[in-house]
Amino acid sequence: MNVSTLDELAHAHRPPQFGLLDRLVDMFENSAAVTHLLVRGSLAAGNADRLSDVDLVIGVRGSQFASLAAVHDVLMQTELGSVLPGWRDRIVGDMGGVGFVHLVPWQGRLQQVDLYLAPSIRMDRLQALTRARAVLARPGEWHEDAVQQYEPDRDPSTRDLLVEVLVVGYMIRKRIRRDQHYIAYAEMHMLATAAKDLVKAALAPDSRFYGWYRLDEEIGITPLGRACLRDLRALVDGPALPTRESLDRSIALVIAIATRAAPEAVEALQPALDIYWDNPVRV
Amino acid sequence: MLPPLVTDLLPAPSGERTNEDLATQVARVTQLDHEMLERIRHEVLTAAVPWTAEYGPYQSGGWWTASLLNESGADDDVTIRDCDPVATPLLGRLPTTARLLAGLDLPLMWVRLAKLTPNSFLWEHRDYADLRRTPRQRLHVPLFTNRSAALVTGGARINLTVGHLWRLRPTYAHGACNLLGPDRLHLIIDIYEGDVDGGWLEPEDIEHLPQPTEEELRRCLAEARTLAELGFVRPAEKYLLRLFYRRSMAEGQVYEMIVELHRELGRQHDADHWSGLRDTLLDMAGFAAGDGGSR
Repeated sequence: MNVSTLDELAHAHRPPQFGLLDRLVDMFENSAAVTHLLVRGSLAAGNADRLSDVDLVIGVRGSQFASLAAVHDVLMQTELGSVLPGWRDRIVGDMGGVGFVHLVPWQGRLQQVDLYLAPSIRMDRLQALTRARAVLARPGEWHEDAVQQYEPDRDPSTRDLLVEVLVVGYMIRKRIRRDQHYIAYAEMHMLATAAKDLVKAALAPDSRFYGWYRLDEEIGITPLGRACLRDLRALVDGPALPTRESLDRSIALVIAIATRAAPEAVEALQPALDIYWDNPVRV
Repeated sequence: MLPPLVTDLLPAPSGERTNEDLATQVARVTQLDHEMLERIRHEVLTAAVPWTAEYGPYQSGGWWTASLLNESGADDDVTIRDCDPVATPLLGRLPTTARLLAGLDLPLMWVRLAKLTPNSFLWEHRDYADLRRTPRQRLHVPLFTNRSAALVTGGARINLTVGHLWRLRPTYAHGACNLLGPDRLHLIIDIYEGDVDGGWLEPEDIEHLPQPTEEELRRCLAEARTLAELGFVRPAEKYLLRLFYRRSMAEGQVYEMIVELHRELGRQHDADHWSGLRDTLLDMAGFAAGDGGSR
């Protein structure tokens, strides 16, 4: 077997996320607004497997940052068929931009795509910080307050929170597969918190109480509120260290809560919910 | 304000189209024998199908076909035309499918397998524009589908479920989509007009699409413009084309919005291209001549 045959074999058996990465790079490098594309994570480090996510940092000209951030969701949905609106990533560290997590059907499975948008002026520092591999580097421009101009000044909607539960649930499923117990534990708490926030956003949007305080007094004053709290209680009664089965039960409970308290959010995401539960595309 | 071309084409608020209206365009014709259908599904899924891409302007990419009966007898000859069809080698490898076709006892014109992959679309169009003005119909045998796959016509999404033979009059403006996958796989049978009239739709087959609001159309056009200004011109066009699958749009309205988008951006060449493409895809010449819906 010669070297070129080995190369062909290696190429044929590379994780499918590389094809998805190619597609993303092709898409973003067509825009003059994009100055940098940096690959992070296991795809850059050379230790990717079939569960690895695609982790891409996108450097954007400062004057166009807010525009690209505002329409990147439409772009991901139109070009790559991402099944949910991008979840505003609250796990990724602050590197001077904004992060989003998308779930994209790719070769019969849902793949996680982490996009981090940052003004091009921050790219050198960001590359040094993350040891990311640059696949595109063009001159950038300085623009004051580029990120601040995008930041939407609003609390998450019930739909945002349902998306958070689904995306974090997807991530937890990978943690379970990889025996990453502590991260699964942390993300399970995040999922439960998003479920609580969903209940409050739907049934007590003007809540005067912080976090988990006074839910019974504020939410549990109607049959609807009590029913939602029963499901929330069942969710937090589940194991702190989730199993696949307990995770499925937890997500089903959140969908039951949302169907009762925020049916419009469930309706808006219905096709995505179908595919989310569809076996061939699950992790 | 919305550009005049967009506001002029807002669908007039009207009562929902009845199921009977829609059933003239697409309908279940008969239930298929379960065991035969399962054998067809199995043999199609396990056969090496030489999928061919064709009808580029009509689709987003992701529409693949292979002929079973056609004029030339070649699997990859997939541009339909009037003919007295002969079997392709592929049909020879699908014996149960061949038995189904023979058993239909209909004047067959062309038979294909068609695959629509996830996040793929057949844009709003009319068929048979290049063919002689002879009455004909299209039959669909859905083999594999999913809830995000649909045929859109008359302002409604119709989910062509597996288990029935379906009739479509593709001379009405229509489109098809597979948003999220997995692959949608149909057997498509074009016939010269036979005894396949009638048919019905079950209530669960139909999802009437909501009318777009002016504000929504304005927002979509603005988002498309932002995409185009950032250099994502094709995605901007696709974003507007995809409105057809989410909202009850007036005929050709999504094309008019793309024309408007390019005009706003000073891209007259592209505006002219889309104006011409709209006329081609919707067979405006034939429709203006009064042939639409009757061919």
